[in-house]
Amino acid sequence: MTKKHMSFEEISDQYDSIRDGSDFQNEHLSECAECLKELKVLSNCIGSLSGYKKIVIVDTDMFMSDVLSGCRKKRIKLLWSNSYYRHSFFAAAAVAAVILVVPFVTSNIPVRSDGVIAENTTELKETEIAVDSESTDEVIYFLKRNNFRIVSVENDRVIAESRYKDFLHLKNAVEGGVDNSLNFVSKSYLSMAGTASGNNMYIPGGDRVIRFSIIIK
Amino acid sequence: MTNLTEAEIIKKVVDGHISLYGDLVELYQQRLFRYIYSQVRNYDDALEIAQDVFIAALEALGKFRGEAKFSTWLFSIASNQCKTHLKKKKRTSTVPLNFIAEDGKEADFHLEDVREDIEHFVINDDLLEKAYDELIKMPPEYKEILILRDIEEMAYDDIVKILGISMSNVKVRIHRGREMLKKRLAARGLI
Repeated sequence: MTKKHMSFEEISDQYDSIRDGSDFQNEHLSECAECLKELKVLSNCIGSLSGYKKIVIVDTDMFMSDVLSGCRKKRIKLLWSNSYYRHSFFAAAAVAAVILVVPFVTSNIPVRSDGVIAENTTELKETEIAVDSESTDEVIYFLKRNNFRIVSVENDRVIAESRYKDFLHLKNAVEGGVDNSLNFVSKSYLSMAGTASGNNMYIPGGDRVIRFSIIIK
Repeated sequence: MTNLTEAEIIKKVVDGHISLYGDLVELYQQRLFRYIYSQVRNYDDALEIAQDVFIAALEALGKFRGEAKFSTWLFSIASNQCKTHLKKKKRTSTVPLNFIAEDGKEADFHLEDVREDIEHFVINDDLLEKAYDELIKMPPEYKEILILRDIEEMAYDDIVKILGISMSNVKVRIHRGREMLKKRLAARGLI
């Protein structure tokens, strides 16, 4: 034997070389029974860990089902991160916008009985809502929620912005029992369907104006 | 399972064929579970983390460039999730479930769960069980690396990527881990 015994690190490296199928042969090992024995001990030692592979997921079907169910929930996010689908989404959104917005522009603004603008355009008629003075907040809430704008209307024409510049002014006015001739029209409706000239705005079809008379009791 | 390669499956999944992701899950679920289980030592927690890892991997799959192997990438996500889980668990104190027995003394309320003892449930060979016991008792940094290298048979390069440590550090840990394991098994007369 020409060399001193191998260190544990060298034996460990040798074990890896053998396992990885490397051609590397340590000359010392062929001569030294002691180092060869150490290599075998290490090999047995690592081999004894093979039992760990018996630890497995018991119900793989359930596991798979849970994973895929969680994945489906995340699917939209994944699709979004994919540029192809992102572009497709924009294209689809543009088409949807044309389909949804165009009829809205050319139609009336119906109001459901629960106070929300409805989708059914045939419901639209001049709307009158009478409220108690105690319910002013509810009316203001409804108007704000539906993007209404305070204007003065005469013969189905918006002739001017109201002197009440915002809903707080309106609320104060209503609660003060001063004004009962205010008109409200949908802001979005006006901005899309009306034709404006100075302070006047003509709304085609008089029934598109929603009138509220706020009755002070 | 399809006949597609792993790279092809990944591309298709990214393109929206989510059902194909099941093939990747099937391919790696047991290895990943074993690795996670070795860290958290609780069957239910390991299952939950494994699920989270697969879901997180799907979410980030669009960013997977294929520079590392998919398995390496998956295990690195698992390694991080395990660390987060263990940190969280450390912060959470547990209160033992006790009850007052008929004699007025407080007694433990023991709920037996065979899944908690899954390693003894599935490893019925005495030698394998004792070797496993010794592995589990080892310091985490050695236990983790031995599982990756000597059980999951991962390459050194992959372990570097999974654990985010240098190659020299990986080598040192593997050598020391093996040496420690050898001493422990020898002390029990197993080798």
